[in-house]
Parts: sequence; C-alpha cells; structure tokens
Amino acid sequence: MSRLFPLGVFAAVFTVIYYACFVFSITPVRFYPLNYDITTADLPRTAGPAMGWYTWIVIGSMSGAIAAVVAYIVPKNVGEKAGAYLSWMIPLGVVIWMLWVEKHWFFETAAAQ
Amino acid sequence: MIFTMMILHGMMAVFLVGAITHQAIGVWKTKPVPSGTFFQSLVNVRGMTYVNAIVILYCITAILGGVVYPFYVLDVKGSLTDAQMNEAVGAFELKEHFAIVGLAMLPSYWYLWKKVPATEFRRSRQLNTTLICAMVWTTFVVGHILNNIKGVM
Repeated sequence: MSRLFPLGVFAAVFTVIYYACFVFSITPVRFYPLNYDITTADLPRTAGPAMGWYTWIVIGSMSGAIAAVVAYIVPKNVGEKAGAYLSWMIPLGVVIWMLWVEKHWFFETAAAQ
Repeated sequence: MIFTMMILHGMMAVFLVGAITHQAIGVWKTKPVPSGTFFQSLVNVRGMTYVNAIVILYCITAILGGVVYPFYVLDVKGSLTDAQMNEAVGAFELKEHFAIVGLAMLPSYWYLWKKVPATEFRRSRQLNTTLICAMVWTTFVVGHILNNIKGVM
C-alpha cells in the first residue's frame, strides 16, 4: 500500500475541486453572515452578502478524501514517486490558475469590470 | 470577541511565518555549514523539529481566519468595493484561496518530513515547504495591509 500517493492525490484533488467550485460558481449551500442563515436558496439582497467559501472547502476536502481513499490501493512501489510530485505540482498549477483568474482585479480598470 | 479573535489570528500568523520561514530556508541547505554567523545558524535549523508546530499553527490560524471572515465580508469588503479599491478586494480573494491551497498540502507536507527518510524525495520536500511558505507569507502580508486599510472594528 502506498502512503504518499494518497496524500498527494488529496492535495491535488482538494485544490482543483475547491477552485473549480469557485470559478464555476458551484455553491449549493450559501452562508449569509448578516442573519447567520445557512440555506440552499438564493435569498434577496436584503439578506446581505452571501458566502460560498465554506461550501467550497467542504466539497473540495470531501472530494480529496474520497480520491485519497481510492488512491490508497495503489501499490507503494508504483505510487510513491508520483505522490511526491503530485503533492506540489498540482497545487502550484492551481496557484497559477488562481493568479490568472484573479488578474482582472489588478490589471483592468473599474469601468471594464 | 471579534477583536480577540483578530488579535489571536494575527499572533498565530506571526508564529507561523517565523517557523515556516526558518524551515524553508533550512530545507535548501545542500552541504554542512558551520554555525558561526547568524545566517549560518539560520540555515542550520533542524527543519523536522518545526513540522508539528507548523501544522498545528497553520490549522489554528486558518480556523481563526474562518471565524473572522464573515466580519470582513460584512464590515470591510463592501467599503472597499464602494471605494473601488479593486486591488485590495482581489488581494483578499487570493488570500482566501492561497490559505486553502496550503491547507490541502499539509498532510503530504507532514508525511514528507516525518515519514520519508531525509535522503528520499528531497526536491519534493523542498518544494512543498517553499510553496507553503509562499502561501503563508502572501496571506500574512495581505491580511496586514487590508487591516491597515480598514479593520473589522
């Protein structure tokens, strides 16, 4: 049984799914901090700003955990090296993806947004 | 209560920045170095002794950040948006995402330091540690700048 491979898979799947949820607005549950409402409904503006961050963390971490359990069956001699690379390469790729997606905050004018 | 949480969040972040920076510098040491000067001592730090502290500090800091986050959304983010301070809003978006990248890497980071012999997967250990260090520094600096622009109080 491989040990490092499942942990590398966890890091990779967690980061990719987490950020994909953000980019593609996959937010089945929203938190409205003004009234502490946790709901699947899209509440009116009077409910204040909605937060999806906690939902993305739960979806990402659960996806990573499930993928890691599946990856646990990979033999140690096959998975260890791949796990070592996965543990930093995919998160680094996701960081570059984040910088690319979020660049509009820094390089576009307010009018363009 | 929120004031206490913010101060604790900041204090934990300071400890975390110190620990991960020491470790990230030390992990790139390629040959034995005498501990004569400050910088030589810095490079000679025993990275493995920092691992558990870093994992615990990271988790505590992230949880406290998660607790104060709604107050930022309610009290700060709207003001920044109204003032068209897009760079500040974008910087915080990166902070919230980078914090999660670091969190996701913690299990493999811990395993690489604690369970893998020091001679194996050296480059992966170096890059895991350095990437987490970069996440911590970015979130730390952004948090402080935003708090200087407009705190939650």
